[in-house]
Amino acid sequence: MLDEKKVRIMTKLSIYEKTTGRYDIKLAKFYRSDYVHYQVLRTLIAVTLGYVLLLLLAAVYKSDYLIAEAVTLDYASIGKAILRYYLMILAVFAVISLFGYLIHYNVSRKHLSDYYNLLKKLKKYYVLKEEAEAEGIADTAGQAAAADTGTEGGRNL
Amino acid sequence: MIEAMLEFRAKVCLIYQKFQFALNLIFKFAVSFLVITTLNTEIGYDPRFAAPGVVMMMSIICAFTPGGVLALMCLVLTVIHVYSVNVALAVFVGLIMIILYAFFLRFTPRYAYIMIAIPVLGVFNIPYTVPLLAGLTTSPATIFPMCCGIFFRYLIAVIRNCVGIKVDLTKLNTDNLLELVNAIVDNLLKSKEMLYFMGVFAMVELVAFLIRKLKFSFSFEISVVIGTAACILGHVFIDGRYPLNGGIGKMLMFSLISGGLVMIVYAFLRILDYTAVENVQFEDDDYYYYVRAVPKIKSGLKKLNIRKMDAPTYFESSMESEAFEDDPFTDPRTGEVLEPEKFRENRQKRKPKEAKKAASGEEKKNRAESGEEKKRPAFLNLKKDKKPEQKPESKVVIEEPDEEHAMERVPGEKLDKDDKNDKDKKDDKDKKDKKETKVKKDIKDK
Repeated sequence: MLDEKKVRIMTKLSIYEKTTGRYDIKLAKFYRSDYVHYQVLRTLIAVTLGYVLLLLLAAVYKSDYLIAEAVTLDYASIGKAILRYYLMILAVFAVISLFGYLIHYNVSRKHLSDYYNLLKKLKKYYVLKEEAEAEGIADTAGQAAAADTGTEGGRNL
Repeated sequence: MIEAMLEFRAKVCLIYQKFQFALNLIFKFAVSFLVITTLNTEIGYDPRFAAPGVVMMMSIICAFTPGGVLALMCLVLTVIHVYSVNVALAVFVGLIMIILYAFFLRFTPRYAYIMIAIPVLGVFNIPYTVPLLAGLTTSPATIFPMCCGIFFRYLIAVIRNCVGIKVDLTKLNTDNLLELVNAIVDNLLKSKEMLYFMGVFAMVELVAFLIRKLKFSFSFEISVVIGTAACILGHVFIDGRYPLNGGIGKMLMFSLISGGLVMIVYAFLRILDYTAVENVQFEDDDYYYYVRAVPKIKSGLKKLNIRKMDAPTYFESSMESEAFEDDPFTDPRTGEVLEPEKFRENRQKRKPKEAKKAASGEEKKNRAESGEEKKRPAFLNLKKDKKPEQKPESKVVIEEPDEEHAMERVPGEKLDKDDKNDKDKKDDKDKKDKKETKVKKDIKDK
């Protein structure tokens, strides 16, 4: 027999798992600090790669000047400027990603709390069902025991 | 008029629910076809990929895949078209795309289609819909893909200008290539107009987002209006430094059209959101379930149950006293002159159930047992000559139903329980009792 109440709860859980829950449940595996640190690290790596490619494009753009002035260039100051800009960009993106992913994690926890409440409801339902079944078994056992000890006249024909 | 609009919206929602799968495919195919065709018009250097058959095939692929695939396909198509001009130039454009992703697009990969929407809608002169819609529906993080979209639009325009005018494609060599790359980069770096547009679009999205987050009535509608005004003001500011194509009049007209389009789209988004049919599968110990969840249509209007509680009038209350037993009275509701007994009978019928029960033998018995004397209120002892007291104000109780059950109906369906007569109410109660016993029995059987 289909239990409508159980199907309703399980349907809502399934819909959530299929839509936004896909991303939120992945986040649930992380602690807040671990997730934020992991995402900030990924951001820093991506920014480093992007910066290197940007330098490459800048070198191609200024290739005429670089080739012409290759001997007389002050590489130390150029290196310091590159490092300075790199650290500035890294700091900006680290701060943006830190706050962004922190907010993202907190929002996902709110959605997950509703999901967990539904799960608790389903679990409670299963517990009550098991208790009802146990009571039903106890009743039938009691009835069987009473029928065995009863007289012939007491039997249902 | 509003009711007609809401009914139309409910009908559209019903049709969408019925044919959701097919409509989604058709819509995605149409959008993909439009986007790819527009891109080919702007930067279609390779005639093989600009052919209608290839465009149809790519549109069909995009119809069956998530939205991010369309954005990726557009970027790859751009690189392919530039590849037909020169390999090194294609590498250059590809590197720019990778840099954009590394710095900006990786934060919002699900909204990559915003980057494509700006150049496509720019062809139709309505790119202002993007920041307004993004402010209403998403977070400020979508400013990144929006700014990338503006950059992409300028990149395409610059490549088109430079490749078409400055360099002869048949005589392209390394020197010319460097000259071409330098021309493109110069145009992009010197394009402060692009930075101003990025600033204006970001401001419009922020304004729309902040206002719609405020907790007051019509916040969404007001955010669209103020966002449109901010967009117009921003463009007027830009026009002072860099004259706009087509002038302020054209910009004003298309800004207002964009605002109107956003209002229409959002009016449907508010009901189409979460109204898509969900097909889910799950299992437990006993069964494997294939469930099709169809959400109910909520028209948005709250139905108010108004119940008036009138205090008894002078004439009605005076019927309790014996002094007026023999006098005929006019029913204040119908104007009919009635004998006192008939007036009392009609009044009994209008009384609520509790009053009827009180009038029945049970209450009287209780009173007789307890020995309570019926105290007559002071106003019943009025003499005939005195003027009647002023009619007390009726108390109106407006019962608002729970949000769960607010307007969960198909248009035309009756819901008013007060319309049912006593027999129907009794039948409903019997059905409810039977259902409860059946549920208890089922749980026990299980």
